[in-house]
Amino acid sequence: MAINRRKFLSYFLTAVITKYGVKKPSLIRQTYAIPLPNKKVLIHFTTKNKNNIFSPKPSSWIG
Amino acid sequence: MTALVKCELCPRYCILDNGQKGECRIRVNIEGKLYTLTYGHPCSIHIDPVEKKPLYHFLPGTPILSLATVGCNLHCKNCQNWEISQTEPYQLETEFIEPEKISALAIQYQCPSIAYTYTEPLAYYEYTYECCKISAEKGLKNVLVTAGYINEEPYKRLLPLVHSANIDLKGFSEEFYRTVCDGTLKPVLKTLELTKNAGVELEVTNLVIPTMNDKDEDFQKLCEWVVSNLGKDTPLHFSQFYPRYKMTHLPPTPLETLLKARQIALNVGLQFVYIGNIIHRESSNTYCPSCKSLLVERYGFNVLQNNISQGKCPKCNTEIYGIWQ
Repeated sequence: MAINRRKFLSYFLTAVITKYGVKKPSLIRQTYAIPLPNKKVLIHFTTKNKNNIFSPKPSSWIG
Repeated sequence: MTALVKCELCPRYCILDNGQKGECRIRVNIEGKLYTLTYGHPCSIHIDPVEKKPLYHFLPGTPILSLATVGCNLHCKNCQNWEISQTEPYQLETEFIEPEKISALAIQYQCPSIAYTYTEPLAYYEYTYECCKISAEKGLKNVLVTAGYINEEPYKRLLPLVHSANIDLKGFSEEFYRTVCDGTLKPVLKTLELTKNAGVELEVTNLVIPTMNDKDEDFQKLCEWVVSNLGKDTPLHFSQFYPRYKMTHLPPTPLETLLKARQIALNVGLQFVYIGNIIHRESSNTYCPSCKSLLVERYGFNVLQNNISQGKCPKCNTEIYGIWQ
């Protein structure tokens, strides 16, 4: 498995910092994600023309 | 303090701090819970010929409703669809389309099947799962076009809803997967085996990149593994590479290389070997593995004739691997 150095470092540093007095964050294992409800929208989707649901697609795409 | 979340969907096992997104760019930790950002937000919906997936042993000549959201858990330097696979969710126009609407669209446009394709359907897993579930209930067939980079448990949960899959076997070395795809080979091999063992109609695609995975021994090893682990009846597609994304310095794959790969695969014992992304008539046709008669003639994505009758060769009655009706 390829190791993501940025994430490993982030977790490692968090663990080191929290050793000095601050509570160590818990690690929750999750396989399935929850659809993002509207009230939690952090990202903003622009709305397409609803009369044309099909999207233009370059012919070079594969799959 | 907000909890860290470890996403166990794929072999990357991203550990996410609050507000942090995974390698796929579409799964995020918000206050200790894992959210999917693109559920219900396809960035691409299109009706394609099923041959474009490519699937040559699945309902030939039929249209297939094809969709994708942004995001992928691999970062292949040669990605042909990088504009949507390697982008952030907010960078493309979308609207909310619930899974029920997807199956309704397929029925409205007379598509017997739906493909989750273009990017990585296993990264937008929850949307794929719900669409598959509702579509299967309505009698539609589900198709995955995927790199197969997923953990065993979630994949086994999805498989009963899937009828056909085209899985990329991008190369046959850990080094190739590490350096070109930013992933690993072993989980992909496991996904291929699980798919075949689950009775899903499986076709394998190998995109042949000049100087990266086009040596004779690369083809030999890959084909031998397919024969030994998936069976000689598994259709194998060698696709032509075009210079894209971070590999614009390489030329398109020469036809000769693709023909050489096909010949190696046939010599190893594979029965159905095709070349794709390029027009070559003989290598696009399906022939009976027993009597060698022409079963399906294709030109590009068009089916010119389909002589398969009830899944069998009309001349010698040999059963032909696939879903034909």
